[in-house]
Amino acid sequence: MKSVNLGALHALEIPTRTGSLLVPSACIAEVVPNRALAELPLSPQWVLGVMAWRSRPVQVISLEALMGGAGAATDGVPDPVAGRRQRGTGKVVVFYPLPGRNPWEFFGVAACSEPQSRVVDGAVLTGTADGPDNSIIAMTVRLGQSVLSIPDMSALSVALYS
Amino acid sequence: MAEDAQYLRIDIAGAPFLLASRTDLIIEQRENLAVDEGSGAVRAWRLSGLDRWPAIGLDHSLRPLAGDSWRQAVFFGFGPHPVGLVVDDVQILTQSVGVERFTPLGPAPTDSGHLFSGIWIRDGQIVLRFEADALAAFLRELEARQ
Repeated sequence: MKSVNLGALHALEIPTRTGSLLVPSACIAEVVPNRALAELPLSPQWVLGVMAWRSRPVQVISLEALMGGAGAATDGVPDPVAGRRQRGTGKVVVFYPLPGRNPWEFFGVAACSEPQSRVVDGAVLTGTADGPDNSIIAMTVRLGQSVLSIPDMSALSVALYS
Repeated sequence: MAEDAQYLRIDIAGAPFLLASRTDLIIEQRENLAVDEGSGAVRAWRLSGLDRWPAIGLDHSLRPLAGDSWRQAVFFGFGPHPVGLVVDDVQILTQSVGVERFTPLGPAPTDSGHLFSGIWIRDGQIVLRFEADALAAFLRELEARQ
């Protein structure tokens, strides 16, 4: 079982319908309430839509759908009349552009409830086999009672942009 | 980072989109077109000498639509012939529009790339800007399927 010593790490636990992610806070620009999303026609099923954030367009994705999980990943539901998704009760975690991407390419990840700050202070995280087996997950760890998946940002970039 | 340009605002089945103004654009009124009553994606034809240019009907999700509420068609693109899109309404935007650059996620739906390359955010509303060459390729694919 793989272990990693992260030192003092400020991170965010992002709850999704199929499990929680653990992401360094430095990757996160802001957590905002789920809001109406504009439909992006002909996009993959894991792209939930586009929202306006600080006068920028931000695409919101369902990580569980990207990983092949079933079902919707957001509380927003399609509006069949206007082709828009209506406001849900979850949150959107806005990520800074991934390494190597253009500076305007912020993107959002839908969370099913309020993300939680975590300080992994000198802790040794131990890998566990309980998490999802997917190429965009670098490893799954146990932190207290929680099982958290740490995304592989390079693999995520490949999945999002190719 | 916004780009300024002149645009047409086109309404497709109730949803607004932007198309950059360009020299090969032709806007035609419905009454000047030959309506296609078939069940395919082509809703009308513009007769041009011995040639005819198709105008495709789409819904707000850009799926082929057999609806009949359109009033105009916008034709653009060259070779083998221009291709068109039937629309509810067309407005030439006279003011400068600041469009934010935008890269759609996921694979491009056409060999010519993604259909959208920018977004205009107006009072919080998202308006997608078409990439004209990719849109023309997409419409030609729909015409070929007919």
